[in-house]
Amino acid sequence: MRGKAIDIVQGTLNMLICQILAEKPLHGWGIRERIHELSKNALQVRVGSLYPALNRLQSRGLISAHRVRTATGRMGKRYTLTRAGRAQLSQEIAHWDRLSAAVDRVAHGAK
Amino acid sequence: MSRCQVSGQGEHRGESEESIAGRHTMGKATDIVHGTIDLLMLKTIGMEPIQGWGAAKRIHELSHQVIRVREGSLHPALVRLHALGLIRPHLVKSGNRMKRLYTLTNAGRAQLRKELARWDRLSDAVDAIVHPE
Repeated sequence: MRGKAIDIVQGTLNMLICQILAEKPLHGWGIRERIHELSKNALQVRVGSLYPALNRLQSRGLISAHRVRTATGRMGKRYTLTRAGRAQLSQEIAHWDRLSAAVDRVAHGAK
Repeated sequence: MSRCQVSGQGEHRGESEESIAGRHTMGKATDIVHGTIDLLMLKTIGMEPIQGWGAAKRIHELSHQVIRVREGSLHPALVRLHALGLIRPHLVKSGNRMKRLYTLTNAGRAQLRKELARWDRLSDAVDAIVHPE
């Protein structure tokens, strides 16, 4: 990893959580670890941002939560992307692609 | 807080401008982009001495009309970058008027390199997640 990990801002975090859940249902900590792993630790998800984000996504019907017993025998929540979440995710990704390409064009010249 | 307005392609067809905040129920996946106004301004001013509105116009053009830096974000951005010692205004006579052209300071050039590296790292990381191999 080069340099300090970057905290992800809220909206982007929502998109990333949904993308991770599109692979498979996971617990909160699993989502966080997966984001760290896939970004090679360039992105950092604070616990204080993760759970409010999960609650928000759940209240908007984009993810659903199921109580399950974890490997260590404790009860935990496992999150699943809903159909609405899947539809929203593809829109968000398209939007991200368009805007990040626009920033790249200014930052690095035409591509 | 720095903010740049991102406008939709629709406005060129006379449609209303895209509002990121209102339209996306997931929140703003592109919040990251709002944090790039300093990068975009420094980059544009670094190309050649330019007036504030000229920098905004160039960002709009280079981004193929996707990113619009509004008046309400442009002025605070210029004030902030100046206060940080990253840009310097020069008054230049143009006809019988004075133009205020901005250039990058040495600190501004160093900051631009940092902001570019940060953006690349951030956007690569997000891309690695949303577009897995």
